Amino acid sequence: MSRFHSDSVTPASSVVGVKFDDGVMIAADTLVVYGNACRYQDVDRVMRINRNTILGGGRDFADVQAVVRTISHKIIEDHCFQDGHHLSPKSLHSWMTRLLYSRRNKRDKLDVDLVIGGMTPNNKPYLGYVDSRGTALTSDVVTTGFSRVLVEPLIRERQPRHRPFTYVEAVNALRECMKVLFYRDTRSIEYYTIGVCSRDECKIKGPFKAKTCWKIAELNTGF
Amino acid sequence: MFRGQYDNDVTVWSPQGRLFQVEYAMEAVGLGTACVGLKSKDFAVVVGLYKPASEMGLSQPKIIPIDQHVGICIAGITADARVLGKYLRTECLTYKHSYSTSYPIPRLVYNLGNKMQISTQRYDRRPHGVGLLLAGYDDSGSHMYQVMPSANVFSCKAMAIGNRSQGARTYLMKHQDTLKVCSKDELICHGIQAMSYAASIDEPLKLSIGIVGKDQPFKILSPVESMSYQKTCKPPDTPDHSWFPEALKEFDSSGESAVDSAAGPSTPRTATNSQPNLSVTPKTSKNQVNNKKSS
Repeated sequence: MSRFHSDSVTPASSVVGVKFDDGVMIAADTLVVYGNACRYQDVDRVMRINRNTILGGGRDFADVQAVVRTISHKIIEDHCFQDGHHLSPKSLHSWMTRLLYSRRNKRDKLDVDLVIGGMTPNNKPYLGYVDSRGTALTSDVVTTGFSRVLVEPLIRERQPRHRPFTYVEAVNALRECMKVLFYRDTRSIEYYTIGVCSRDECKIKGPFKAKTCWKIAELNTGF
Repeated sequence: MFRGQYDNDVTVWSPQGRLFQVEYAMEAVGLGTACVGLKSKDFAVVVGLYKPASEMGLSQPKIIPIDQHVGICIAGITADARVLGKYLRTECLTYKHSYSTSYPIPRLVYNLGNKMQISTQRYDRRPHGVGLLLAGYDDSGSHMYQVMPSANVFSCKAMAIGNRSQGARTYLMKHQDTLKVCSKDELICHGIQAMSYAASIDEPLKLSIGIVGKDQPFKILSPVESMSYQKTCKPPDTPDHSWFPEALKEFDSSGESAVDSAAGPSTPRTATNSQPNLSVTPKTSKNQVNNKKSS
Protein backbone atom coordinates (compact mmCIF):
# COMPACT_ATOMS: atom_id res chain seq x y z
CA MET A 1 0.00 0.00 0.00
CA SER A 2 1.55 3.31 -0.96
CA ARG A 3 1.92 5.96 1.66
CA PHE A 4 0.68 9.40 0.94
CA HIS A 5 2.84 11.05 3.51
CA SER A 6 5.36 9.76 6.00
CA ASP A 7 7.90 11.64 8.03
CA SER A 8 11.43 10.96 7.10
CA VAL A 9 13.40 8.93 9.63
CA THR A 10 16.78 10.30 8.61
CA PRO A 11 16.35 13.81 7.32
CA ALA A 12 19.10 16.17 6.28
CA SER A 13 18.92 19.92 6.17
CA SER A 14 19.47 22.60 3.59
CA VAL A 15 21.56 22.74 0.43
CA VAL A 16 22.77 26.01 -1.11
CA GLY A 17 23.89 26.42 -4.72
CA VAL A 18 25.46 29.44 -6.36
CA LYS A 19 26.56 30.14 -9.94
CA PHE A 20 29.80 32.00 -10.53
CA ASP A 21 31.49 33.22 -13.70
CA ASP A 22 33.30 29.98 -14.43
CA GLY A 23 31.04 27.33 -12.93
CA VAL A 24 28.82 26.44 -10.00
CA MET A 25 29.24 25.79 -6.30
CA ILE A 26 27.01 23.72 -4.04
CA ALA A 27 27.36 23.67 -0.26
CA ALA A 28 25.70 21.52 2.39
CA ASP A 29 26.53 20.59 5.95
CA THR A 30 27.61 17.07 6.80
CA LEU A 31 24.79 16.09 9.14
CA VAL A 32 22.05 13.48 8.89
CA VAL A 33 19.69 13.46 11.86
CA TYR A 34 18.02 10.43 13.42
CA GLY A 35 14.97 11.44 15.38
CA ASN A 36 16.27 14.35 17.43
CA ALA A 37 19.83 13.12 17.60
CA CYS A 38 22.67 14.41 15.46
CA ARG A 39 23.58 10.87 14.64
CA TYR A 40 25.56 10.87 11.38
CA GLN A 41 27.91 13.80 11.44
CA ASP A 42 30.31 13.01 8.66
CA VAL A 43 28.10 12.59 5.62
CA ASP A 44 28.98 14.06 2.23
CA ARG A 45 25.71 15.47 0.99
CA VAL A 46 27.24 17.02 -2.11
CA MET A 47 28.29 14.40 -4.65
CA ARG A 48 30.26 14.37 -7.84
CA ILE A 49 28.23 12.71 -10.57
CA ASN A 50 30.62 13.00 -13.47
CA ARG A 51 33.19 15.43 -14.88
CA ASN A 52 30.48 18.02 -15.57
CA THR A 53 27.92 17.51 -12.86
CA ILE A 54 27.55 17.75 -9.10
CA LEU A 55 24.48 17.15 -7.00
CA GLY A 56 23.45 18.19 -3.51
CA GLY A 57 20.67 16.33 -1.68
CA GLY A 58 18.49 17.42 1.21
CA ARG A 59 15.47 16.09 3.16
CA ASP A 60 15.18 12.30 3.49
CA PHE A 61 18.71 11.10 3.03
CA ALA A 62 17.76 7.48 2.35
CA ASP A 63 15.82 8.69 -0.68
CA VAL A 64 18.76 10.87 -1.73
CA GLN A 65 20.98 7.81 -1.63
CA ALA A 66 18.46 5.79 -3.66
CA VAL A 67 18.36 8.53 -6.27
CA VAL A 68 22.15 8.74 -6.44
CA ARG A 69 22.34 4.95 -6.87
CA THR A 70 20.00 5.16 -9.88
CA ILE A 71 22.04 8.01 -11.31
CA SER A 72 25.31 6.11 -10.93
CA HIS A 73 23.80 3.23 -12.94
CA LYS A 74 23.23 5.74 -15.71
CA ILE A 75 26.81 6.97 -15.44
CA ILE A 76 28.09 3.40 -15.71
CA GLU A 77 25.98 2.98 -18.85
CA ASP A 78 27.62 6.12 -20.25
CA HIS A 79 31.05 4.65 -19.50
CA CYS A 80 30.11 1.43 -21.27
CA PHE A 81 29.06 3.22 -24.44
CA GLN A 82 32.47 4.88 -24.63
CA ASP A 83 31.28 7.35 -27.21
CA GLY A 84 32.42 10.50 -25.48
CA HIS A 85 28.89 11.52 -24.60
CA HIS A 86 28.41 12.29 -20.91
CA LEU A 87 25.27 13.10 -18.99
CA SER A 88 25.02 16.87 -18.81
CA PRO A 89 23.56 18.67 -15.76
CA LYS A 90 20.63 19.89 -17.85
CA SER A 91 19.78 16.34 -18.93
CA LEU A 92 20.13 15.04 -15.39
CA HIS A 93 17.92 17.83 -14.10
CA SER A 94 15.29 17.11 -16.74
CA TRP A 95 15.34 13.38 -16.07
CA MET A 96 15.10 13.83 -12.30
CA THR A 97 12.14 16.17 -12.78
CA ARG A 98 10.29 13.54 -14.82
CA LEU A 99 11.16 10.82 -12.32
CA LEU A 100 10.13 12.75 -9.23
CA TYR A 101 6.95 14.08 -10.78
CA SER A 102 5.91 10.61 -11.93
CA ARG A 103 6.58 9.20 -8.46
CA ARG A 104 4.52 12.00 -6.96
CA ASN A 105 1.62 11.17 -9.23
CA LYS A 106 1.76 7.53 -8.19
CA ARG A 107 1.47 8.65 -4.57
CA ASP A 108 4.89 7.18 -3.87
CA LYS A 109 7.02 10.25 -3.35
CA LEU A 110 10.75 10.30 -3.11
CA ASP A 111 11.15 12.87 -0.36
CA VAL A 112 14.15 14.77 -1.69
CA ASP A 113 15.34 18.29 -2.43
CA LEU A 114 17.96 18.14 -5.12
CA VAL A 115 20.31 20.85 -6.31
CA ILE A 116 21.94 19.86 -9.60
CA GLY A 117 24.72 21.92 -11.07
CA GLY A 118 27.58 21.81 -13.49
CA MET A 119 28.89 22.75 -16.93
CA THR A 120 26.80 22.22 -20.06
CA PRO A 121 28.46 20.86 -23.23
CA ASN A 122 28.96 24.40 -24.54
CA ASN A 123 30.78 25.38 -21.34
CA LYS A 124 28.10 27.43 -19.65
CA PRO A 125 27.39 27.02 -15.93
CA TYR A 126 24.04 25.39 -15.14
CA LEU A 127 22.25 25.32 -11.78
CA GLY A 128 18.88 23.72 -11.16
CA TYR A 129 16.59 22.63 -8.38
CA VAL A 130 14.03 19.87 -8.24
CA ASP A 131 11.95 18.73 -5.29
CA SER A 132 9.76 15.83 -4.28
CA ARG A 133 6.71 17.33 -5.96
CA GLY A 134 8.50 17.59 -9.25
CA THR A 135 8.83 21.37 -9.11
CA ALA A 136 11.83 22.29 -11.18
CA LEU A 137 13.58 25.57 -11.68
CA THR A 138 16.92 26.94 -12.80
CA SER A 139 18.50 30.02 -11.33
CA ASP A 140 21.75 31.76 -10.40
CA VAL A 141 21.10 31.01 -6.75
CA VAL A 142 19.29 27.92 -5.52
CA THR A 143 18.38 27.16 -1.93
CA THR A 144 16.39 24.40 -0.26
CA GLY A 145 14.62 24.07 3.06
CA PHE A 146 15.65 26.51 5.76
CA SER A 147 18.23 28.21 3.64
CA ARG A 148 15.48 29.52 1.41
CA VAL A 149 14.35 31.77 4.23
CA LEU A 150 17.54 32.29 6.19
CA VAL A 151 20.17 32.53 3.55
CA GLU A 152 18.79 33.39 0.14
CA PRO A 153 18.33 37.08 1.01
CA LEU A 154 21.92 37.13 2.20
CA ILE A 155 23.23 35.89 -1.11
CA ARG A 156 20.93 38.13 -3.11
CA GLU A 157 22.29 41.09 -1.18
CA ARG A 158 25.84 40.17 -2.06
CA GLN A 159 25.07 39.43 -5.69
CA PRO A 160 26.82 41.95 -7.92
CA ARG A 161 24.57 43.64 -10.46
CA HIS A 162 25.12 42.98 -14.16
CA ARG A 163 27.79 40.33 -13.66
CA PRO A 164 28.05 36.92 -12.01
CA PHE A 165 29.96 36.17 -8.83
CA THR A 166 33.68 35.59 -9.06
CA TYR A 167 35.08 32.41 -7.52
CA VAL A 168 36.26 34.21 -4.37
CA GLU A 169 33.00 36.11 -3.93
CA ALA A 170 31.01 32.92 -4.28
CA VAL A 171 33.11 31.09 -1.72
CA ASN A 172 32.79 33.95 0.74
CA ALA A 173 29.06 34.12 0.24
CA LEU A 174 28.72 30.39 0.91
CA ARG A 175 30.94 30.62 3.98
CA GLU A 176 28.70 33.30 5.39
CA CYS A 177 25.61 31.24 4.58
CA MET A 178 26.84 28.11 6.31
CA LYS A 179 27.70 30.18 9.36
CA VAL A 180 24.23 31.70 9.55
CA LEU A 181 22.65 28.29 8.99
CA PHE A 182 24.57 26.82 11.88
CA TYR A 183 23.56 29.70 14.11
CA ARG A 184 19.88 29.51 13.32
CA ASP A 185 19.00 26.02 12.05
CA THR A 186 18.75 23.63 14.99
CA ARG A 187 19.25 20.55 12.83
CA SER A 188 22.63 21.49 11.48
CA ILE A 189 26.30 21.31 12.46
CA GLU A 190 29.23 23.54 11.75
CA TYR A 191 31.02 21.20 9.35
CA TYR A 192 30.18 21.48 5.67
CA THR A 193 31.45 20.53 2.23
CA ILE A 194 31.44 22.60 -0.93
CA GLY A 195 31.29 21.00 -4.36
CA VAL A 196 32.83 23.05 -7.17
CA CYS A 197 32.21 22.29 -10.82
CA SER A 198 33.92 24.59 -13.26
CA ARG A 199 35.84 24.46 -16.52
CA ASP A 200 39.02 23.52 -14.66
CA GLU A 201 37.86 21.11 -12.02
CA CYS A 202 35.00 19.15 -10.58
CA LYS A 203 35.67 18.37 -6.96
CA ILE A 204 34.05 18.14 -3.57
CA LYS A 205 36.07 20.25 -1.13
CA GLY A 206 35.97 20.14 2.62
CA PRO A 207 34.85 19.45 5.18
CA PHE A 208 35.22 23.02 6.37
CA LYS A 209 34.25 24.35 9.77
CA ALA A 210 32.07 27.42 10.07
CA LYS A 211 33.74 30.09 12.17
CA THR A 212 31.20 31.01 14.77
CA CYS A 213 31.30 33.22 17.83
CA TRP A 214 28.98 32.43 20.69
CA LYS A 215 29.85 35.36 22.90
CA ILE A 216 26.42 36.86 22.26
CA ALA A 217 24.94 33.84 24.02
CA GLU A 218 25.71 35.54 27.34
CA LEU A 219 23.43 38.39 26.36
CA ASN A 220 20.61 36.04 25.56
CA THR A 221 18.80 36.29 28.89
CA GLY A 222 15.32 36.85 30.20
CA PHE A 223 13.61 33.53 29.51
CA MET B 1 22.92 -26.25 -53.08
CA PHE B 2 21.14 -26.95 -49.83
CA ARG B 3 19.32 -23.72 -49.85
CA GLY B 4 15.84 -25.10 -50.12
CA GLN B 5 16.15 -27.08 -46.94
CA TYR B 6 17.42 -24.27 -44.75
CA ASP B 7 15.72 -21.15 -45.97
CA ASN B 8 12.19 -21.49 -44.69
CA ASP B 9 12.81 -20.09 -41.26
CA VAL B 10 15.02 -17.35 -39.90
CA THR B 11 15.85 -19.58 -36.94
CA VAL B 12 17.45 -22.25 -39.12
CA TRP B 13 21.17 -22.23 -39.83
CA SER B 14 22.58 -23.72 -42.99
CA PRO B 15 25.49 -26.17 -42.70
CA GLN B 16 27.76 -23.41 -44.02
CA GLY B 17 26.76 -21.17 -41.11
CA ARG B 18 24.44 -18.87 -43.04
CA LEU B 19 21.01 -17.53 -42.25
CA PHE B 20 19.31 -17.54 -45.61
CA GLN B 21 16.25 -15.58 -44.55
CA VAL B 22 18.45 -12.69 -43.45
CA GLU B 23 20.35 -12.84 -46.72
CA TYR B 24 17.12 -12.84 -48.68
CA ALA B 25 16.04 -9.78 -46.71
CA MET B 26 19.24 -8.05 -47.82
CA GLU B 27 18.21 -8.78 -51.41
CA ALA B 28 15.02 -6.83 -50.80
CA VAL B 29 17.13 -3.72 -50.22
CA GLY B 30 18.53 -4.14 -53.69
CA LEU B 31 15.05 -3.98 -55.15
CA GLY B 32 14.51 -0.44 -53.98
CA THR B 33 15.75 2.53 -55.97
CA ALA B 34 19.14 3.89 -55.09
CA CYS B 35 19.99 5.95 -52.03
CA VAL B 36 23.21 7.85 -51.59
CA GLY B 37 24.50 9.22 -48.31
CA LEU B 38 27.65 11.19 -47.56
CA LYS B 39 29.02 13.43 -44.87
CA SER B 40 31.51 16.20 -44.46
CA LYS B 41 32.82 17.57 -41.20
CA ASP B 42 29.77 19.76 -40.62
CA PHE B 43 27.03 18.34 -42.81
CA ALA B 44 25.45 15.05 -43.78
CA VAL B 45 23.44 14.64 -46.96
CA VAL B 46 21.15 11.88 -48.20
CA VAL B 47 19.89 11.66 -51.75
CA GLY B 48 17.09 9.37 -52.86
CA LEU B 49 16.09 8.50 -56.41
CA TYR B 50 12.41 8.69 -57.16
CA LYS B 51 10.82 6.14 -59.40
CA PRO B 52 7.07 6.41 -59.60
CA ALA B 53 5.29 3.08 -59.76
CA SER B 54 3.13 4.27 -62.62
CA GLU B 55 3.26 7.25 -64.96
CA MET B 56 0.56 9.15 -63.19
CA GLY B 57 1.35 7.94 -59.72
CA LEU B 58 3.13 9.77 -56.95
CA SER B 59 6.10 7.93 -55.62
CA GLN B 60 6.61 6.86 -52.06
CA PRO B 61 8.77 9.20 -50.01
CA LYS B 62 12.38 8.12 -50.02
CA ILE B 63 13.46 10.36 -47.18
CA ILE B 64 11.80 10.37 -43.79
CA PRO B 65 12.68 13.14 -41.34
CA ILE B 66 13.08 11.75 -37.84
CA ASP B 67 13.95 14.72 -35.68
CA GLN B 68 15.58 18.13 -35.96
CA HIS B 69 18.97 16.50 -36.13
CA VAL B 70 18.29 13.19 -37.91
CA GLY B 71 16.77 11.94 -41.12
CA ILE B 72 16.77 8.65 -43.01
CA CYS B 73 16.74 7.60 -46.63
CA ILE B 74 15.21 4.19 -47.28
CA ALA B 75 15.62 1.44 -49.86
CA GLY B 76 13.46 -1.64 -49.82
CA ILE B 77 10.04 -2.41 -48.45
CA THR B 78 8.49 0.97 -47.70
CA ALA B 79 6.04 -0.38 -45.16
CA ASP B 80 8.87 -1.80 -43.07
CA ALA B 81 10.68 1.50 -43.39
CA ARG B 82 7.65 3.36 -42.09
CA VAL B 83 7.60 1.18 -38.99
CA LEU B 84 11.29 1.82 -38.35
CA GLY B 85 10.84 5.52 -39.00
CA LYS B 86 8.00 5.63 -36.48
CA TYR B 87 10.16 3.81 -33.92
CA LEU B 88 13.06 6.19 -34.40
CA ARG B 89 10.77 9.19 -34.08
CA THR B 90 9.27 7.87 -30.87
CA GLU B 91 12.70 7.18 -29.42
CA CYS B 92 13.95 10.65 -30.26
CA LEU B 93 10.88 12.27 -28.82
CA THR B 94 10.88 10.38 -25.53
CA TYR B 95 14.60 11.03 -25.12
CA LYS B 96 14.02 14.71 -25.66
CA HIS B 97 11.17 14.67 -23.14
CA SER B 98 13.27 12.91 -20.50
CA TYR B 99 16.65 14.50 -21.04
CA SER B 100 15.95 17.87 -22.64
CA THR B 101 18.47 17.22 -25.36
CA SER B 102 18.59 15.46 -28.71
CA TYR B 103 19.35 11.76 -28.89
CA PRO B 104 23.06 11.21 -29.59
CA ILE B 105 23.19 9.54 -33.00
CA PRO B 106 25.52 6.60 -32.22
CA ARG B 107 23.26 5.55 -29.37
CA LEU B 108 20.14 5.93 -31.48
CA VAL B 109 21.43 3.59 -34.17
CA TYR B 110 22.77 1.18 -31.56
CA ASN B 111 19.26 1.09 -30.13
CA LEU B 112 17.77 0.51 -33.59
CA GLY B 113 20.24 -2.24 -34.35
CA ASN B 114 19.29 -4.05 -31.16
CA LYS B 115 15.61 -3.83 -32.05
CA MET B 116 16.18 -5.12 -35.56
CA GLN B 117 18.29 -8.00 -34.31
CA ILE B 118 15.33 -9.41 -32.42
CA SER B 119 13.53 -10.14 -35.64
CA THR B 120 16.51 -12.12 -36.93
CA GLN B 121 16.33 -14.50 -34.03
CA ARG B 122 12.68 -15.22 -33.43
CA TYR B 123 10.67 -17.89 -35.19
CA ASP B 124 7.58 -15.72 -35.29
CA ARG B 125 9.20 -12.65 -36.85
CA ARG B 126 10.93 -11.82 -40.09
CA PRO B 127 13.78 -9.36 -40.69
CA HIS B 128 12.81 -5.85 -41.79
CA GLY B 129 13.27 -5.77 -45.55
CA VAL B 130 14.68 -2.28 -45.71
CA GLY B 131 18.08 -0.65 -45.70
CA LEU B 132 18.49 2.81 -44.22
CA LEU B 133 21.02 5.53 -44.68
CA LEU B 134 20.81 7.66 -41.59
CA ALA B 135 22.13 11.21 -41.68
CA GLY B 136 22.53 13.09 -38.44
CA TYR B 137 24.33 15.86 -36.63
CA ASP B 138 24.90 16.06 -32.88
CA ASP B 139 27.47 17.33 -30.37
CA SER B 140 30.13 15.01 -31.72
CA GLY B 141 29.72 16.20 -35.31
CA SER B 142 28.12 14.80 -38.43
CA HIS B 143 27.16 11.14 -38.77
CA MET B 144 26.30 8.79 -41.60
CA TYR B 145 25.12 5.30 -40.76
CA GLN B 146 24.08 2.39 -42.91
CA VAL B 147 21.54 0.05 -41.33
CA MET B 148 20.78 -3.27 -43.02
CA PRO B 149 18.11 -5.95 -42.47
CA SER B 150 20.78 -8.11 -40.88
CA ALA B 151 20.72 -5.53 -38.04
CA ASN B 152 24.27 -4.55 -38.87
CA VAL B 153 24.92 -0.89 -38.31
CA PHE B 154 27.91 0.67 -40.03
CA SER B 155 29.27 4.15 -39.64
CA CYS B 156 30.36 5.43 -43.05
CA LYS B 157 31.96 8.41 -44.68
CA ALA B 158 29.72 7.80 -47.66
CA MET B 159 27.54 4.97 -48.89
CA ALA B 160 25.08 4.01 -51.59
CA ILE B 161 22.48 1.27 -51.38
CA GLY B 162 19.65 0.03 -53.54
CA ASN B 163 19.30 -0.87 -57.18
CA ARG B 164 22.37 -0.19 -59.36
CA SER B 165 24.19 1.51 -56.52
CA GLN B 166 27.58 0.01 -57.41
CA GLY B 167 28.43 2.88 -59.77
CA ALA B 168 27.55 5.41 -57.12
CA ARG B 169 29.71 3.60 -54.59
CA THR B 170 32.64 3.64 -57.00
CA TYR B 171 32.24 7.38 -57.46
CA LEU B 172 32.08 7.94 -53.71
CA MET B 173 35.16 5.82 -53.13
CA LYS B 174 37.06 7.91 -55.62
CA HIS B 175 36.14 11.12 -53.86
CA GLN B 176 36.04 9.94 -50.28
CA ASP B 177 39.12 11.85 -49.18
CA THR B 178 37.82 15.21 -50.32
CA LEU B 179 34.42 14.82 -48.69
CA LYS B 180 35.53 15.86 -45.24
CA VAL B 181 36.35 19.41 -46.26
CA CYS B 182 33.49 19.95 -48.67
CA SER B 183 31.18 22.86 -48.23
CA LYS B 184 27.45 22.25 -48.04
CA ASP B 185 26.86 22.90 -51.72
CA GLU B 186 29.80 20.79 -52.82
CA LEU B 187 28.55 17.94 -50.70
CA ILE B 188 25.09 18.05 -52.27
CA CYS B 189 26.66 18.13 -55.70
CA HIS B 190 28.80 15.10 -54.94
CA GLY B 191 25.63 13.34 -53.85
CA ILE B 192 23.86 14.24 -57.09
CA GLN B 193 26.79 13.19 -59.21
CA ALA B 194 27.07 9.89 -57.38
CA MET B 195 23.36 9.33 -57.86
CA SER B 196 23.61 9.99 -61.56
CA TYR B 197 25.62 6.78 -61.90
CA ALA B 198 22.78 4.83 -60.35
CA ALA B 199 20.07 6.35 -62.49
CA SER B 200 19.03 4.88 -65.80
CA ILE B 201 19.67 6.82 -68.96
CA ASP B 202 16.22 7.14 -70.39
CA GLU B 203 14.53 8.52 -67.32
CA PRO B 204 14.67 12.04 -65.93
CA LEU B 205 16.66 12.28 -62.73
CA LYS B 206 14.08 12.83 -60.04
CA LEU B 207 15.80 13.28 -56.73
CA SER B 208 14.90 13.84 -53.15
CA ILE B 209 17.68 15.52 -51.18
CA GLY B 210 17.90 15.80 -47.41
CA ILE B 211 20.53 17.74 -45.51
CA VAL B 212 21.40 18.18 -41.85
CA GLY B 213 24.35 19.79 -40.12
CA LYS B 214 25.76 22.60 -38.09
CA ASP B 215 23.07 25.27 -37.68
CA GLN B 216 21.01 23.30 -40.19
CA PRO B 217 18.07 21.31 -38.86
CA PHE B 218 17.15 18.31 -40.99
CA LYS B 219 15.53 19.55 -44.14
CA ILE B 220 14.31 17.98 -47.35
CA LEU B 221 15.03 20.37 -50.20
CA SER B 222 12.00 21.62 -52.06
CA PRO B 223 11.65 20.49 -55.69
CA VAL B 224 12.75 23.96 -56.84
CA GLU B 225 15.88 23.90 -54.69
CA SER B 226 16.81 20.39 -55.63
CA MET B 227 16.28 21.06 -59.32
CA SER B 228 18.46 24.14 -58.98
CA TYR B 229 21.28 22.06 -57.49
CA GLN B 230 20.90 19.44 -60.20
CA LYS B 231 21.18 22.09 -62.88
CA THR B 232 24.21 23.85 -61.48
CA CYS B 233 26.04 20.65 -60.71
CA LYS B 234 28.70 19.79 -63.23
CA PRO B 235 29.54 16.23 -64.13
CA PRO B 236 32.89 14.97 -62.89
CA ASP B 237 35.82 16.42 -64.75
CA THR B 238 37.40 13.62 -66.75
CA PRO B 239 39.18 14.01 -70.10
CA ASP B 240 37.55 10.82 -71.23
CA HIS B 241 33.99 11.92 -71.60
CA SER B 242 32.70 8.45 -72.27
CA TRP B 243 32.20 8.44 -68.51
CA PHE B 244 29.89 11.38 -68.78
CA PRO B 245 26.77 10.29 -66.96
CA GLU B 246 23.98 10.27 -69.48
CA ALA B 247 21.46 11.11 -66.85
CA LEU B 248 22.99 14.52 -66.28
CA LYS B 249 23.12 15.43 -69.94
CA GLU B 250 19.79 17.17 -69.87
CA PHE B 251 21.12 19.48 -67.21
CA ASP B 252 24.38 20.29 -68.88
CA SER B 253 24.54 23.96 -69.67
CA SER B 254 27.97 24.80 -70.88
CA GLY B 255 28.46 28.43 -69.99
CA GLU B 256 31.95 29.83 -69.67
CA SER B 257 33.33 26.79 -67.94
CA ALA B 258 36.96 25.96 -67.36
CA VAL B 259 36.44 22.45 -68.73
CA ASP B 260 37.88 21.80 -72.17
CA SER B 261 34.76 22.17 -74.24
CA ALA B 262 36.31 20.82 -77.44
CA ALA B 263 36.10 17.29 -76.13
CA GLY B 264 32.87 17.97 -74.33
CA PRO B 265 29.43 16.80 -75.31
CA SER B 266 27.87 18.92 -77.98
CA THR B 267 25.05 20.76 -76.34
CA PRO B 268 23.88 24.18 -77.40
CA ARG B 269 25.78 26.97 -75.72
CA THR B 270 23.58 29.09 -73.62
CA ALA B 271 25.07 32.30 -72.42
CA THR B 272 23.70 32.69 -68.96
CA ASN B 273 25.58 35.43 -67.26
CA SER B 274 24.41 34.37 -63.85
CA GLN B 275 25.97 30.96 -64.21
CA PRO B 276 28.75 30.57 -61.68
CA ASN B 277 32.12 29.59 -63.10
CA LEU B 278 32.31 25.93 -62.16
CA SER B 279 35.25 23.59 -62.38
CA VAL B 280 35.32 20.05 -61.04
CA THR B 281 33.11 20.57 -58.06
CA PRO B 282 31.03 23.67 -57.78
CA LYS B 283 32.41 26.24 -55.43
CA THR B 284 30.00 27.58 -52.91
CA SER B 285 27.96 30.24 -54.57
CA LYS B 286 25.36 31.96 -52.50
CA ASN B 287 23.00 32.36 -55.39
CA GLN B 288 22.88 28.68 -56.25
CA VAL B 289 19.73 27.86 -54.41
CA ASN B 290 17.98 31.04 -55.48
CA ASN B 291 19.12 30.80 -59.06
CA LYS B 292 15.82 31.15 -60.83
CA LYS B 293 17.47 31.90 -64.14
CA SER B 294 18.46 28.33 -64.84
CA SER B 295 18.89 27.23 -68.41
